[in-house]
Amino acid sequence: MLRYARDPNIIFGTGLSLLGIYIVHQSLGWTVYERDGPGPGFFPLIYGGVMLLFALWLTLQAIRAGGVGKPLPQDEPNEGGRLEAFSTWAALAVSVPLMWAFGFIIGFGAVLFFIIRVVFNRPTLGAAITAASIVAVLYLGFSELLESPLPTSAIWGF
Amino acid sequence: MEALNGLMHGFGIAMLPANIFWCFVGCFLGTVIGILPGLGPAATISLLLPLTYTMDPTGGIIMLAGIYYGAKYGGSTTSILLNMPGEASSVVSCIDGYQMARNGRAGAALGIAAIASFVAGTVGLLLMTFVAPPIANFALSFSSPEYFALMVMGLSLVVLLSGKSMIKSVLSLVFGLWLATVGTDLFTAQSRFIFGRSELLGGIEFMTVAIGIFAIAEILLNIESKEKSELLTVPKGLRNLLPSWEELKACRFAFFNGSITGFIIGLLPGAGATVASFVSYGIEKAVSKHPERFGQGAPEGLAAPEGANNADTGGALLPLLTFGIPSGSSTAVLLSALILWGVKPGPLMMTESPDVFWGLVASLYIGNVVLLVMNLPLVGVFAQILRVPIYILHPAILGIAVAGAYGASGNLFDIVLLLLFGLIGFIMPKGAFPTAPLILGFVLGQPMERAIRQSLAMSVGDPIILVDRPISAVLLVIAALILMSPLWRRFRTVRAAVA
Repeated sequence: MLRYARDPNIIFGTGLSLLGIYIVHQSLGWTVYERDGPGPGFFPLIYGGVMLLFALWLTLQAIRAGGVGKPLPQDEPNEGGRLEAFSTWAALAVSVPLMWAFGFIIGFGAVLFFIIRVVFNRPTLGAAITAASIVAVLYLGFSELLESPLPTSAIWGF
Repeated sequence: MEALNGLMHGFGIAMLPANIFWCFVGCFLGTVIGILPGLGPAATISLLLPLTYTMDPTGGIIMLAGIYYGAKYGGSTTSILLNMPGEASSVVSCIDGYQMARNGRAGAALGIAAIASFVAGTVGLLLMTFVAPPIANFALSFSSPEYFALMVMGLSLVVLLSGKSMIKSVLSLVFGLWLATVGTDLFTAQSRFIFGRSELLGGIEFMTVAIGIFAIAEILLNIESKEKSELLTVPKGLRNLLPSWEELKACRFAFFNGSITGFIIGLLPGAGATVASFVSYGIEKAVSKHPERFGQGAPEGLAAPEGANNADTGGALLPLLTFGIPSGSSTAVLLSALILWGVKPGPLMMTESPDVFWGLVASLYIGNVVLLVMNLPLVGVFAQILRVPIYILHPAILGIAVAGAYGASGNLFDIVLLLLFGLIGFIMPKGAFPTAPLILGFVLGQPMERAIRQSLAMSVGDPIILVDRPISAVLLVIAALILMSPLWRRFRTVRAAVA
């Protein structure tokens, strides 16, 4: 069973099959075709059907191939690197509520500090200086120089 | 004659001090981006797009195009000095470029790469300049059915050429089409796939998708891979960067091969500079009297792919400017930039926006010279960029991505979407799904839907209109043949096995 659960083609194929079903189901809820031409459901119904067909094909192909075996030691994915990549992504995700609450400088600055300190393993002081410098340059560049908006704090308004 | 007059007009526009400045900025940024492994031109153009909102469209497109082809010049530097391609299109340059450097010819290798890029890039531009007007005139006879058929043909080629698996390319493409239809329907104002979020009523911003799929995902992939290589030293002095007469003589055919192969493959949607460089290298090796030298540091083995990936620029811009159809990720971003500024690429662009069209074409010639002058003497300086620590570089790029995505809409929801697309771009390579079809599907989704619905409205719902018109019928037949070609190959393999 693990052979199938590990297979990326089965994972992607199943996910896209479900998405295809959702698209087709939604499309059928709208007008597909009228006397004078297609409606809003027409185009999504076509590509949704194509998605469903090909995703099922991909899944069945992978199942028929018997899934994938346990990777050899030399083919093992770089677990440490993968964890760091996901930590970076998770930190960026946390930056959204932080920026909403504390604005760009503090909210995003804190996230950058975390990334530099933990993911890139830099000393605390160096990470703080680097994060502060990057945020300051971005703030000056976008907000002051280009007059492009940056997230402002819901608490203190800047 | 039309092309010459247009080009003269274009030089008048491109030679304005402001436009020369933007051309220089684009070439400089492109070279820097090309040198930095992992961050491609599509990601950079996407990142800088918000900064060009207030710019004059001509200056803006000149700068973005400079980044596009400048990255191809810069990409060879890391291939030669690090054995690490700065761009996908520079992968082949590693084979003989790095070997030349290891044989003590690093300077000559950098020189050959710059000269080949300049020669082939210029040939590609000349071909584009003189082929564009007749193609644009031909495109004037296109109506909705022809445009729909052309897009189907283009996307069929993308599906065929983008990845190893055609099924995955199709899935990537239709996922992009789905993203394009999120929002309010153009014809009936019906909201589609908005998941109850009013922020999605206006659709998904192109920049959010592009920055997420390219910039955020590339940074995550770089963090995951943690690649490290040893940088070979660049010889000082211009004389040490010039190849010997024997080396140049060996590259004669490679310059020609790279120019023609790159331009022709550049025309094909989905193929791109990477395919062009591989094909030209293969041709070069096939016709060589000394194929055994390839892989050991053959100058022509470096000149051919380097030329091809630059000649590809002219080929790739031709369908974008004459039909409004991009052939790859970078040109898709350029298309979106033009649309954002209110310029409509297509057969009427030459007459409706001659300053932008011919100004861009002329700036490409100027940019090629700028890049040659910039790259030969300053290659040692550019190589120092590789010494910028990644703990500064990656967070800075992430910051620019977040600030850019927020600046486009002023909405935190777009950052959520940005991160979602970043994650999608990060996991797609894990399943060997190509990202180019997704981006092209997203860019062409709305025009494609508009074209098919307008066609069917023209015929009062009769789909025969798509095969009733000769151009449209021919294009659809070609698309069908493209999509069936893998089946034909498989059939022949099976038949050969049975025999």
